Amino acid sequence: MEETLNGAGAGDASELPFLPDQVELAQFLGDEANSGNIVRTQLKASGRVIARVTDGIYRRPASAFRELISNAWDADANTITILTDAPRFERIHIRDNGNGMSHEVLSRILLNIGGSAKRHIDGQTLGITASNDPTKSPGGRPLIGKIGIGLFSVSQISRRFRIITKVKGASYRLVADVRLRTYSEDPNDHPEVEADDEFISGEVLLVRQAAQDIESQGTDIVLEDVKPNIRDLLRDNARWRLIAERRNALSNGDMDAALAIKVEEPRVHSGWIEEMRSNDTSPVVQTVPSMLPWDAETPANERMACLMDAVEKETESTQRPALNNVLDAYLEMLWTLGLSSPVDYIDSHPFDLKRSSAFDLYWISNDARGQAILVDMRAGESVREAIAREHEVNLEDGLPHTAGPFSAFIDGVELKKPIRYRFRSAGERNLSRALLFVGRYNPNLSRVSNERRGGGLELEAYIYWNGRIVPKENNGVLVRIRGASGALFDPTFFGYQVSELTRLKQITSEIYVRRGLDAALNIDRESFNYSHPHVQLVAQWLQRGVRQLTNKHKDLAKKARLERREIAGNEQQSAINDYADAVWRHRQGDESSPKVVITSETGPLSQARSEGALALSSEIIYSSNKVATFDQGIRQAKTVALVRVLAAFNVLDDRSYREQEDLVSAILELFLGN
Amino acid sequence: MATDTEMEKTQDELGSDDLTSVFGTEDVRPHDEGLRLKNDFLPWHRPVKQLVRKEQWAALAVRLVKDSKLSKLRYLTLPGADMFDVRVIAETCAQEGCKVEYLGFDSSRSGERGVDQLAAATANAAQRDTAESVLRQTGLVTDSSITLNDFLEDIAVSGSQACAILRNFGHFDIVNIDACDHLAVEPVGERPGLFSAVKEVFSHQRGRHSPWLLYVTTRVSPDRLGGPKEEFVDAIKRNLDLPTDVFRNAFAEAMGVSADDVEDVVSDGWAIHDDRLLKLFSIGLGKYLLQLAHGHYGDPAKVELASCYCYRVHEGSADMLALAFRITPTAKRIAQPTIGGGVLNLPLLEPVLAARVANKVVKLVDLDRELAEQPDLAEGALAATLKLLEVANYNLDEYREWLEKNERPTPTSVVRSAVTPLSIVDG
Repeated sequence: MEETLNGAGAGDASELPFLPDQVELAQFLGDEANSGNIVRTQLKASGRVIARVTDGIYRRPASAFRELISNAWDADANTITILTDAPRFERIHIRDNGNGMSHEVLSRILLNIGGSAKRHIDGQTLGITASNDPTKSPGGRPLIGKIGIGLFSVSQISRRFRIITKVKGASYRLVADVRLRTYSEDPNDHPEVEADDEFISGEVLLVRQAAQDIESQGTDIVLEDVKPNIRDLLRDNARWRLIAERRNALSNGDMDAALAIKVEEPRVHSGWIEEMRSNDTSPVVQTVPSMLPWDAETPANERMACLMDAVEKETESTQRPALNNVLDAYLEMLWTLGLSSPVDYIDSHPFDLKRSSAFDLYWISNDARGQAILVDMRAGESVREAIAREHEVNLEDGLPHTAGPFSAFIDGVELKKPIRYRFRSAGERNLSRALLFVGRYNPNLSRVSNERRGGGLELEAYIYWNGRIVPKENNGVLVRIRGASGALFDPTFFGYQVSELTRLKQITSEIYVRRGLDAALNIDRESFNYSHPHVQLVAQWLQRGVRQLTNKHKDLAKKARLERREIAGNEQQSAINDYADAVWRHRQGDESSPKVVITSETGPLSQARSEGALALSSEIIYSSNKVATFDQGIRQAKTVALVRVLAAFNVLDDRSYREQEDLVSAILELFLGN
Repeated sequence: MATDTEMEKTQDELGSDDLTSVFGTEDVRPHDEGLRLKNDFLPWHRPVKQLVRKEQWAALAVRLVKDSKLSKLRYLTLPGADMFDVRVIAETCAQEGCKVEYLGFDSSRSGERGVDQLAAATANAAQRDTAESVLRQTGLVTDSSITLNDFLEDIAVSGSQACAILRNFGHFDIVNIDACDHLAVEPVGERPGLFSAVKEVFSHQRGRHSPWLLYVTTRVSPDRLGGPKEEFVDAIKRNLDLPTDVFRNAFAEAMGVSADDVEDVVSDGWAIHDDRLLKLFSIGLGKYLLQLAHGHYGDPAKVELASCYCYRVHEGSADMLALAFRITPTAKRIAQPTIGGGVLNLPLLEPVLAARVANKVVKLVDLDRELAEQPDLAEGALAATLKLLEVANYNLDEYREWLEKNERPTPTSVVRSAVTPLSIVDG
């Protein structure tokens, strides 16, 4: 037998007395006669801990919807539809055409919150997992859920809800009416404190109703009365109230109050209703009518693309648009759900991208000091096909599942992953195409003992460098476990400590975990337990991959720079430019310095911006009379140098073009003015 | 330990608005409401209503589905908690491979005041949830079908949530204003009347290229006729004043008077609750809708009365009208200049179409009489109603008792009875 690295030499404890019962263990330890005797027991968790999940454990309402979408996936549904009644959010419907819940399954779910039979041998008996694999759904999908709290994620949104569910072939339908208690640790609230430390989370009334539609199946959940604070979050109430306050201040001539409110109206939104309730004589009226990026005729499957277009359009006014400037809370929730759900990409899965002039493909080396290898894609070939041909690896993520396609709809919008792989230039000093690094990792952990291994680990991934990542929320790494993700993009790449800040801001990466890591997911599925060995393995592999990418990028950028110099000949650089370049190198290392354009013409200005240059309007920068008296030539050179120095210190990041122009103008006025 | 009363003395008062904004509303609906076997029977549970659903609504719907080759029927409705109208129409359309996608307005939750009303409204909504889910899981309706807790009347209010959702939904193939109350009643307060909603529906449907159906079920009684009546009168008079007698003659025949006496009927016929009132109402509404649709030069349409039934709910004589109109968009007209340089208000075709509405009203069918005279029809209507009630979780034994205790008044109407077994007689 091969010796394990960590388990070697451990004694066999199975001969010791075993006392799993609390009373017996206490008696044993209390008995003086047992001094020096070793006893063995097992750690057990209290039911009260899990009871808290029925009161909500998430930070955002989107998380609850994410869990329900995962549940539908696990139930082999082909569609899930969520109707939110936006922007009122009074009653919410969640409907799927999945396997439904039988009397055994529903009973188990209600009486064993946190005791999911998914990924458990019981799941096979109950028919909620594949007969030959407890980690898969009956239809063969990898199960996302595992703890058995997904259904109760709705408690985040409403304390009252109704479940109507039917299993195919059954002559009945089950209706459950659930009322949850607010979790309390005040003994005055629940004098009938429950035995066995099991917290009673609420009351459920159930009825079995005869069904004539024997062959139908599916589950409906109706959230009857959405919690007031959740409604306020969903409808972006705080933002709209501030905007209304500013409008009032302006109409009253109170400029101080108006200027103090910095909140902007989102570019696209679902509208806002100030007075939510109707009465006998007056209807509910939208205070701010919705401004959606699609119209009534736009097909559901094109609406996410319209949403992405709206966000990308924002690059006309800022270099790295942020989602919450463009979208209201509701549309941002659609975005987030699109990112986190096991649905298709807006345009194409990165592994299905065809050969084009927009990117070069590399295969990531799994050796600690290895370098990525350029993959020569043939005409008409996809990433998946090229990798299979050159490296004999079949990338599986994004391939059709045996359980069929899966679509999620919210209020007529079909969710899609809002990530696009379109090249965006970072200026002529940088690369003229994107870099797509793809890899697979399946580390051999057989030399680690079962107790410490945390199970097997297998993943596929890509790391994509682009001149600009739009929106900035798509910068970083996103980890999908079994197709779903709770966490958003992590821009630190698992805390990667490097000085490559500019390059890291130009990377979108996704890791598709095929096996393992989910034990490292915290209960809200939105963050990882960093002490889990799988997290460390994934982080280590990713950071090596990123390093391979940045090395390759440096090489290519240097080569491009040299070529450009040759073409430009012995171009004389002014002392000012040299100084600015030196500052840039000191701050940013080998990163290409940004192209700076100062022009008064709007056409070239927009063109330069679309190519990723730092382009500013001379009309605004030199609008001051004082500055206008300064010598034109030196002024231009100094302005360009100033912009480059500010960029070297990342001062211009995340500022709109207008703000950048105002900042440069203000500094120039101080130093170049009279 | 301090008692509740002692503790309260030292606590800070919280306003009810603050309490609601943090904790929401208290549960007022009995928890078992919406789950137990139901026994609250209402007028639309009578077999006579099933005749309207099946012979008028479903039969015309399936004809539209076939003619327009629809795979999805878009349906605007005022469903009760049982969703019977949706079920009957959807089951019929399913035989043609067509699913229903509905937008419902159920005002029972809106504007509730006291605890009792709120409890009743939430119980109603809970029952509706189950009925909707059953329809959806059965595959009869689409996943996007939804009922809002709003008054349909609110669509006539610019900027309302109801109006926004209606616009986002797009055009409908069928609009069913199953009012159970008076369409023509004068509204109270700021909220517009149901008749304004009908007008808004016509406005919403503009730009549609294929035929659609409008079902109107309404109570009619002389004391509940408000502003809309004046609009009906005006619409009828405009045709009586024309040089052609085509409408005058048809109207006179429908009302059973000579052509010279029709003006008296138009001014006096609204005061007495008899069959002439029902006919007058039907022609007035039909003529009004025709004028509304036909007179629109941008998107003209013709309006036909496809079917008209009456029956009893509260009175000895028929007090409910069930009308079905077919609206067919026609080619855009080129405005014809007149001597004054204006535009002809009523092209010559309109009086002919109006006369057809009046001709159709002659055939107004008294459903109660049909049931009394055709035992097979009555039996079929009862059996179909029982099936609906069973799916909707009603106690059938109690239903039969209720039906016996609340026997129908014997029809006293002199409305012509159909000689042949009931069928859609479509002009």
